[in-house]
Amino acid sequence: MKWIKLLVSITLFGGWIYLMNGPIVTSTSTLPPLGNFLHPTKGFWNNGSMADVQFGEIKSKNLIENARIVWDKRLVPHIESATVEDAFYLQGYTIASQRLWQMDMLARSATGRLAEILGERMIDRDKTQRRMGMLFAAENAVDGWKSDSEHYPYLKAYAQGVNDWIDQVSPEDLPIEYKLMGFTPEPWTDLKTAAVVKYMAQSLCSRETDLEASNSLNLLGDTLYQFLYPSYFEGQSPIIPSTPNAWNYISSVANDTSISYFTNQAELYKRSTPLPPEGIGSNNWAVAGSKTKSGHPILSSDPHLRLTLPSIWFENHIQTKEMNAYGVSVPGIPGILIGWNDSIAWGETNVGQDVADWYKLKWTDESMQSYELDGKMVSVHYRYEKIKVKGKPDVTDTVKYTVWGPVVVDTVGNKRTGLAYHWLSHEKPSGFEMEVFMNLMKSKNYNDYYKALSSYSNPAQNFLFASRSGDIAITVNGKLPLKNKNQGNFIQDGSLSSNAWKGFIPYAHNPRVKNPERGFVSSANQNSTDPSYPYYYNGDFDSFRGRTVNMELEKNSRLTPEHMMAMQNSTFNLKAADNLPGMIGGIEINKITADQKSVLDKLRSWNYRFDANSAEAIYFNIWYRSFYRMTFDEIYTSADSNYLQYPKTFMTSELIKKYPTHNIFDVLATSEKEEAKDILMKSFVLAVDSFNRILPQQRTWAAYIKPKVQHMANLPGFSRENLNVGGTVESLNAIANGAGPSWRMVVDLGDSLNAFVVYPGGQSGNPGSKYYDNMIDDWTKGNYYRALFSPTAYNAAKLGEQKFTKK
Amino acid sequence: MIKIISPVLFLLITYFVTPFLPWYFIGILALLASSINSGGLLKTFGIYFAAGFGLWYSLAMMNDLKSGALLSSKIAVLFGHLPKQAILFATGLMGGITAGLGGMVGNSIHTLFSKPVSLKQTAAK
Repeated sequence: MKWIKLLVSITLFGGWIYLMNGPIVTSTSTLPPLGNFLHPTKGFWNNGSMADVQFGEIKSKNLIENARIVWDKRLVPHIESATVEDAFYLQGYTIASQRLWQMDMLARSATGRLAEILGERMIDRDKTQRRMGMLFAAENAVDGWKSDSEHYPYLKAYAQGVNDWIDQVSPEDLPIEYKLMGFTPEPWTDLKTAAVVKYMAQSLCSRETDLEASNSLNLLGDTLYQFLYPSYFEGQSPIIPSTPNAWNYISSVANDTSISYFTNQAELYKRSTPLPPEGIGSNNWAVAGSKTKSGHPILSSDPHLRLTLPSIWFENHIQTKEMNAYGVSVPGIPGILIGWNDSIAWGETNVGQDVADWYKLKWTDESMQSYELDGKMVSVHYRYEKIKVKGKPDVTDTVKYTVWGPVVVDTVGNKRTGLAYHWLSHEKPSGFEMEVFMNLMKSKNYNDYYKALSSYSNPAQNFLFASRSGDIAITVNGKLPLKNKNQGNFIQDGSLSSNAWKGFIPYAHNPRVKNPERGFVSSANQNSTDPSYPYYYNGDFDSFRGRTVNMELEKNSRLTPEHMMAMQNSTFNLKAADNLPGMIGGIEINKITADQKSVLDKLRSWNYRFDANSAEAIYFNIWYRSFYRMTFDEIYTSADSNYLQYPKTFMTSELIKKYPTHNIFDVLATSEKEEAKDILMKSFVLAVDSFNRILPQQRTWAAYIKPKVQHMANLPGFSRENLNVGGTVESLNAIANGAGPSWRMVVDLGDSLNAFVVYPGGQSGNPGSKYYDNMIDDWTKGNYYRALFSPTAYNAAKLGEQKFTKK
Repeated sequence: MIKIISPVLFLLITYFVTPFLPWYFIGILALLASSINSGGLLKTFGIYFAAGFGLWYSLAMMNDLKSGALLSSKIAVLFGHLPKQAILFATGLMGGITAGLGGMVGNSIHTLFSKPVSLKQTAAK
């Protein structure tokens, strides 16, 4: 009996420890190892009570000289070091101390390594990333970076800083996500930095609609397609102002104008790879002293990216003998990407030119080992992508590579056709592309800025510049493919080498402008130039924000930083202003009810602002969407509607104004012949009806769209939801689809430099820290913080300091 | 006397060594403490469960108070929109069950190796 008691007790005790020591997998979720997780001093409880920073003395054998970091009251580190190498070492150390899990996940996610930590449900996603050539691209980048003997050591120093943090951190102090997901960090490498760079490239320069455009061309025919999808919007206000002398610096251009795309498609192309969401874009502008109250330039920059917690940005200040720069960095990438120094300020928006094309392959036989090129048979070469899977055997995906790039889709329609992906970001760079930011951090004037930009490749960015000496400028910067007219709009014939890009636009011919007559430079993801630019380019361009910025800056003078902040927070929607008068004009008053008339009156007196408390914004939004769907019912009602391209929204106002009786307005499902006014009426009635079905407490724009800043792994409780903030994709405050202004910065480059900043998050990546999301409320209200740039200012607001001594 | 001392000793030692040892050591310490005690199996479980529960609950609560309950409320949402107290309770439960089961093993070992008490000895007492 005694033995039985002992046996039962041991079984229960041992079984309990075994069960609680590992993850518990249920049908819907996986619980972390609960024993460790609930440990009152080492488990998640520790993440709630641990210090944000360990102040005091830190010894390091990897420093060249002693250094110091002062942390201010918003947990911004101010790094003071003698050498640039030490500065990047300390940048790596500080960012790892706050955002280690985030950098780790960005790198793993980019290069298809999630199954390794999250299990077999991530295998397909990992395979897609590998097939898109993400790991291949990161490896190529590192190969190229190694040739830059000046800047590569900085990257190494950064990685060393991250690794020194990892080496000294105890398991209980690891970010909570490691505890939840049950894995530990591995050493940081330059390949991981390259992975984060490629993550940014994928977000910013992989958007294309080649497959959908090819399908739409096939469905609608060439004439209707060209009508509905014009390559340039005549009302556009391009980045480089349209002036007669704009291209004087371009002496001669050699460009073939032949058209090379399929017009007769046999197959339907179904996209199997994700596209970056719409709404990822940015604004930036700089005004010259001639337009400001102070007489000095002001620069504003607000990049719109996916809004996440931890935030994509980390604010930091780096001072060495050579530089004194402040701004934001992406965890995992050394340097300050957007910011200012003693002499200049800079910011970027995405160029949006198409640098990713699809090529249709003709396999020579069903074994898919070779394809046709210029009438010859060319063998593929293989890359074996080994994907580690948590708790399961490794999976290997054999990816074929062609002259165009990786074969993402082996077969389309029949077994003799495949799709290869050609992306600029796959190419091996000629040096360390990120040196552009290191050089900007040191730049003193326009010449330094322009020289710094020349080393940059992709993702192409509109680099904005303003200096305390009074210059303003913008450069469409990066490698831009030299293309035939229409090349890259559709899937191209991969059996002809003549369909390759013709090289790149010479760097000196990239669009740029310095100190334009109008007194400002700006960009908001619109077309880089008007059609007079001598080179052809295509891409995904915004039609509204750039015009809004330029209209605002043109009509105002004596501008102040407060004006700039108000502009960044503006919810004015030019799409509504373009469309609504015409839409209201289409309504026959005598045919609507009193309730509908009252809605129409509200819309008539509306200021086109998508404010958080606006009901009119909802009316317009529903009405416009219904109208758009009815107008383009040819596309929406197609059986292949998921695989088609949709016309740009600037087309609707053009159609109402110029072509109100066009056939496109005819609804296929009815026997009548509709015109614009008919479907405006129908969609209006539908919109009022739909609005009335919304719960009364949800009849404000913010309650309707429910803006949020979501945790990177979508963990409930770690996100901030239902934010009371307005905005749309078309507003300067472009909050939509989980994306929005991820950093707002206004720099007044006067005698005393003043900068105002905010971002929707906090410096700490720890959900248990008060610095995790402490800036979100101010961000929703449009408030800013004055950046503490001078030593006097940040020492006065010191939270604590770390003294780094050489071991 | 030893019946009171060993759980108290267990509490004191566990309090000081918890920050340095893996989570299941609360069970192993309970095992060691209870192995010098006689008593019923369920009673031992109850005593060590209460001690383990109280200790882990209190330590977690101290950490929670330090952080202004910022994280525990988020964890409660993560685990299915539970009240924050449920996470504290779960922590106590984890400590309690582990210590209780460890105590049971210790008690069984003690019973196995202790000499049986004769009727004569009992009468003399």
